[in-house]
Amino acid sequence: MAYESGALSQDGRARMERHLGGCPVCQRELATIQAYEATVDAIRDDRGPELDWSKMELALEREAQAQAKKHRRGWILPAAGVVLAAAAALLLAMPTGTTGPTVVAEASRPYVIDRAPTHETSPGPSVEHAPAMYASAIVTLVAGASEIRSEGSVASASAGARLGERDVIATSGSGSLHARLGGGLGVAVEPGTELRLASLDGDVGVPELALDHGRVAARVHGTRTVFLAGEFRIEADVASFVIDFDAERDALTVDVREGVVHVTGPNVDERLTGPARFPTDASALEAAQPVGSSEDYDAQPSLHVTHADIVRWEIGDAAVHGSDQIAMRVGAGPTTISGWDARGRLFRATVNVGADGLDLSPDELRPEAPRVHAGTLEMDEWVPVVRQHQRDLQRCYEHELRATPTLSVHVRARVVVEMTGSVADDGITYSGDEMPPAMARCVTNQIQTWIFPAPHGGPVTLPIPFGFDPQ
Amino acid sequence: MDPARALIDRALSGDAAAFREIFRAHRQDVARVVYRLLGPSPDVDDVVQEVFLHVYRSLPNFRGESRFSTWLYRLAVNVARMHLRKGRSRPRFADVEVPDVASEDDARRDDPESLSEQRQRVRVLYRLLDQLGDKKREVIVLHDFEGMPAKEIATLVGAPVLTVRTRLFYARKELYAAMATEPLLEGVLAALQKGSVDASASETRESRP
Repeated sequence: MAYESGALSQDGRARMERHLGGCPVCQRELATIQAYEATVDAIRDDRGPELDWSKMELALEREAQAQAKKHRRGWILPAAGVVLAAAAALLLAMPTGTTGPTVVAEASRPYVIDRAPTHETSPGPSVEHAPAMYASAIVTLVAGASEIRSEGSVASASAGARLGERDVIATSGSGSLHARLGGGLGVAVEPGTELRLASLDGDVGVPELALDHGRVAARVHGTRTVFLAGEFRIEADVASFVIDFDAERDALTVDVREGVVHVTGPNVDERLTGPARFPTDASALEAAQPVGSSEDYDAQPSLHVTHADIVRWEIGDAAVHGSDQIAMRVGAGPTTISGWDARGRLFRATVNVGADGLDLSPDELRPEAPRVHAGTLEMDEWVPVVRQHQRDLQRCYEHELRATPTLSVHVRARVVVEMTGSVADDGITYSGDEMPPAMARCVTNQIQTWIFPAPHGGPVTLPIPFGFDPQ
Repeated sequence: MDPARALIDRALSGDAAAFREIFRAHRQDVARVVYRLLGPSPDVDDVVQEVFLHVYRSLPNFRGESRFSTWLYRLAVNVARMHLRKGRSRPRFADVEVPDVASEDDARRDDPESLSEQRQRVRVLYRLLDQLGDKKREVIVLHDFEGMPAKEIATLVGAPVLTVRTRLFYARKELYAAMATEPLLEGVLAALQKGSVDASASETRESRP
């Protein structure tokens, strides 16, 4: 070490070198140390990565303001009152779109819609069970009074509240709540219901939700999910269905709208392919309560909004995902309509809905500043997609290799994934080695076709490094 | 009062702009140390953001007993450590090449061949570093990469100075052993080994009368 750092006297150095001359092991060791020192020098010279500071700053801005406010006041006001406001503003949200969103409804009660994520997954039992990301278990819409009971504490539910394992969602006789539990599972908890998030990650990675009593509408999209109701077990991979459970009578009704739902229990083992209903025997069916549908809804919506680009809306305090058209009933007075497109850009309008209702045209929604919060997509969600397509990139390289046999390419692609899971049109940039133009086109074309799971909360930028060297 | 302290006091008195200034002043340092702790990982952005969320939230706990930068580094090390622990069960992004760390300035300055070799070495070193335990990696990064004195590292990781030195010794030893058997480094090691033999042979001749 002293030799390496030049700390030896000239004489000592000469002796050391004579020793090294006859000692291959020492030479090896010395070479390793020299290589280490040289590499560390290179690392020290590097200032570190240039990250997307402006985006990060925007994301941190909200926290900065929250903290500043906290320090100014010494405490933060709890977000109370949201629940009541939501109940007043949201009388009805219904779809006017044509591609069949899930409708969760009961006559004269508020209901919400949720269209399936737009990335295509064909329904069927063969769908691979995707890891569920319960970090994003979040309440997206609240109408009427409902509570979330976490171990020992009770809180009024409000949009944006985060849910955790073993939380209980309890709705009052008139309240309902819509929650998104990860990317592939949405539930609407109907009035008078208690739903326990029994095991979100589960021992085998399958979320279990216990319906203690009441009615829950679920849309399961590629995330195997189990509902427990009394001694019944209701399991689905890709399906849209409503479960009604009367704990006192131990009576279960499952109304399968689409997809396949597997119901097991005492003397029961039925696989229902929608549209279908459990129990299938007619007398039991008659005894069961009818499950509501959108047709018997008599009230007319007072506000229609449509905008082809928008994938998420917030109207008043109601949030609706996945539909480009919204029709809902709003109370009198000014209502703020916010919508986000797939890139996360905010469009906003404040309107006064009169007695005759209001049709809002797309150009009345004004685009605003770029979004503040980027979404999230966990590595174990997106890495498999990259792996799956790695060969395609290699082919682009190998094609180019024929022209330039010594070509070595190390590139970091930054890929913007929209809220729908597809790659944004001009959303691919590269840093690192410059690729030959034909290869760059090939790589861009390939990446453009990749479909990722829909990010949670907004678009994301994925840093995808890849490198190829000639053999 | 030093300007850093003044800035923190402004933030603590409820000035949102002061938080932004703190971010701007320290983001590059935090990004660098996080990058070095994590290695080339797509999570660097997230972890850096997470560090600043912690900074904003924990600012009232900063009592000024240590330098702000030490406090900040401690947060960064802890957040990176938590992140690495959390990620242990996740699949590593191992079979896709890691990105280059050398900046474009280097590219203009150096000839391409040695530059790509150097990049290769840096990549390999990060990969080998990744196989070290968290504590060993931390001392290597803080001491050898960041050039931080052992005493400061000791306060930062909450261990006696002697422990830090011992850790550093064993960390380097482990790293050298891994480098010596790394196929991708064979070329450079052989060249250096040959170079040292040549050099010692020629110098030996010269040193004799």
